[in-house]
Amino acid sequence: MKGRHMNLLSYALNCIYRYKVRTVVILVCLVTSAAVFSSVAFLKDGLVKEGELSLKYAPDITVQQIWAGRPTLIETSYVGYIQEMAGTISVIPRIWGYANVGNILLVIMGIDIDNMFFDPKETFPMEEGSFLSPETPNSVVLGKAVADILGVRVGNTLTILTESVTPIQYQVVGIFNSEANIYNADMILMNIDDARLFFEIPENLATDIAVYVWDPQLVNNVARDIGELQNLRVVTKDIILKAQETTYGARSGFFSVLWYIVLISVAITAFNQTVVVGHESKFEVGLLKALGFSTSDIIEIRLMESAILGVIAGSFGITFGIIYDRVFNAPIFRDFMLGWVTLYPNFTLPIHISASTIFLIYVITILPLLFATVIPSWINATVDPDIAMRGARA
Amino acid sequence: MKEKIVPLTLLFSIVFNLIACVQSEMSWTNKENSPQPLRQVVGLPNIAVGNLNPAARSPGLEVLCISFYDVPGGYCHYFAPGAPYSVLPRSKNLTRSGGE
Repeated sequence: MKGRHMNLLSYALNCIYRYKVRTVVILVCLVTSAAVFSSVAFLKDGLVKEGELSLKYAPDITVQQIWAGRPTLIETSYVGYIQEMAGTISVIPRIWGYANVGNILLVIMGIDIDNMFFDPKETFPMEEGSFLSPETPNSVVLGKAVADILGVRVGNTLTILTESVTPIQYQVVGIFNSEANIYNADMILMNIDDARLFFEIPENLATDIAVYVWDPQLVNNVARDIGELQNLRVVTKDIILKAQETTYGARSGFFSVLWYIVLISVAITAFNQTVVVGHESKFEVGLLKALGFSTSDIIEIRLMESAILGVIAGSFGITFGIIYDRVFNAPIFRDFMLGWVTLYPNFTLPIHISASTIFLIYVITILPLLFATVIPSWINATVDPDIAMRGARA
Repeated sequence: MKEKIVPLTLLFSIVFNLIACVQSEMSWTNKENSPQPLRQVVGLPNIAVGNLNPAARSPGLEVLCISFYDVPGGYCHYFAPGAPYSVLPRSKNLTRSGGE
């Protein structure tokens, strides 16, 4: 029994070699669509995973002030109110923002060195130099990729224009190299007072307020209490995560729609090719049936052909997708997934190649092909051998 | 020999995919388990979503949102593509009187 199936498999492989045009047409279409899908899927999974990692360390609640429906700087007087609420451990006003340095958009983050959870000198992933210290004002620590883009090294002086076009000089004291590539590529850290000065934010205001809560189960209660205060927008970690997943899901969804269209075209092409080849192979089918092959044997051969083509296309598609993302850093797709990335510096994209995504790609590459070929194969296989051979000769 | 090229290439491709998958899973597991002081100190989510800066938005459908960004009818601040930022119930900001 096993030998019979092996013989049918061997015959199916021969058919793949014999009907070269059909094989090449189906493979080219299917490999292309699988490569596009896998590239976008790996990229989306990587970005979501990267976001999840960052959010693991994000504050439980971020509080922003709303003015006329728009986020604005928040009054630091809220810190006292929130600190008194049951369940909060720590309430920290933050200063951060964006700045165009050269022609790239960078994140400038103010660090409150006296109010940190750990000793940065020991644990910070410094590539070169040292971390910020309260004794050295007007100093900055840059991400490695930022330093490369700006062409600065430790000891250099960096002059950045503020929004009011005032040049401020900073001494580069260190360059960090984090696991989070995006931080390396777009972040400048400075003392919180320097950041306040850079963004011209008065003492009684902050960009937002980070709230840390004792127990994760209390987050919603605390958030609800904060929401009762006037003119505040309360963003919990879960909401950001949900927004992030939805955003990348929607963005990759656009590509998925295009991909489905391509896949349907491939299925139609496969159907068409099987019908054409089925006509050409009528004599062959008649001969096989005359030699004792049953209808189910012939259908099995055709299904094996489709499954083999599907596996080849899926495998090559995934390989090309990985190479496209890893080696070429996913041009075109990265623009779509990340946003207006021309404003961003270059950085290595986070890619997540999960077993479940690979399995999914194989499933959606093989199944449509099987469905597209089973009907023509069945029609082809149920013809009487005598009629088939006569029809084919005629 | 000629007939073996396709099976060999396929085998190479499958092995390559498997190695890439295992390597990717391992590196993400390492990342998850290693201390990440920078993420702790920054506390910001991933850039393209975590901010409301219009420059970080995506082309495609969101371009419409960009073009309306700061005019009446834009409402982009409330639009974090597809997901509302504030899902917590906001109470007592509307009262109604009169009628049925």
